[in-house]
Amino acid sequence: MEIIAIVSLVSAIMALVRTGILSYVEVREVLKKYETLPATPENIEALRLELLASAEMTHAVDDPRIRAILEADGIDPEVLRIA
Amino acid sequence: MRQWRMVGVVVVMAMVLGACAAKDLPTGYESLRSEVSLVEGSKYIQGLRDQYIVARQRGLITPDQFVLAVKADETLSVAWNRMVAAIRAKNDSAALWAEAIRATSTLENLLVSWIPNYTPVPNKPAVLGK
Repeated sequence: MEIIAIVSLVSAIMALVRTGILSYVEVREVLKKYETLPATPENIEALRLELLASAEMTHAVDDPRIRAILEADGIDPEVLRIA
Repeated sequence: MRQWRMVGVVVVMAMVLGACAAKDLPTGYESLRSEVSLVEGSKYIQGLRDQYIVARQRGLITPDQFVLAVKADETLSVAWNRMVAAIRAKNDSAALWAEAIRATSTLENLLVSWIPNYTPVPNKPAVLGK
């Protein structure tokens, strides 16, 4: 029981670290391009749109990991899709 | 004891990395802080998704619980993208924010109640509520 708890904790922490690093790298990459560009209204709007594009979520049912688990459990992912 | 200290160090590292991402807007672009918060919000939601995927892979939640989590996540991703689209069009509303926050809370509550020793995803941005 203790081993299961430790394994699940380590997995969760690895997922968290991955998320933190990805968040940092992705945002930094978008921002870096604009460090040398003057903050004109056009550039501010361009960065705004890039950030918003980064903020969009993939639908849960379009995540390949989720689809693989659902299909392995005999469930059609498309049944769970919302518009 | 030493393992728990290592776990603490790793969690703090993840939190610091996430916090750094929010604070480096180039000069003159500071007005886009709320857009950066949205990116952080999407990464937070991605973190919730990672949690229940890993939990299912480890057998910590049942297939039925996984389906319910996917449904909650699907509702959340639709609400979130609707809100991002409205912000892009400079036409967002309190109702859209409330819907996204409510959907986030629903998924969080499912994970907290199902996953043993649940570790909350760090760096929950203020835009998603505390």
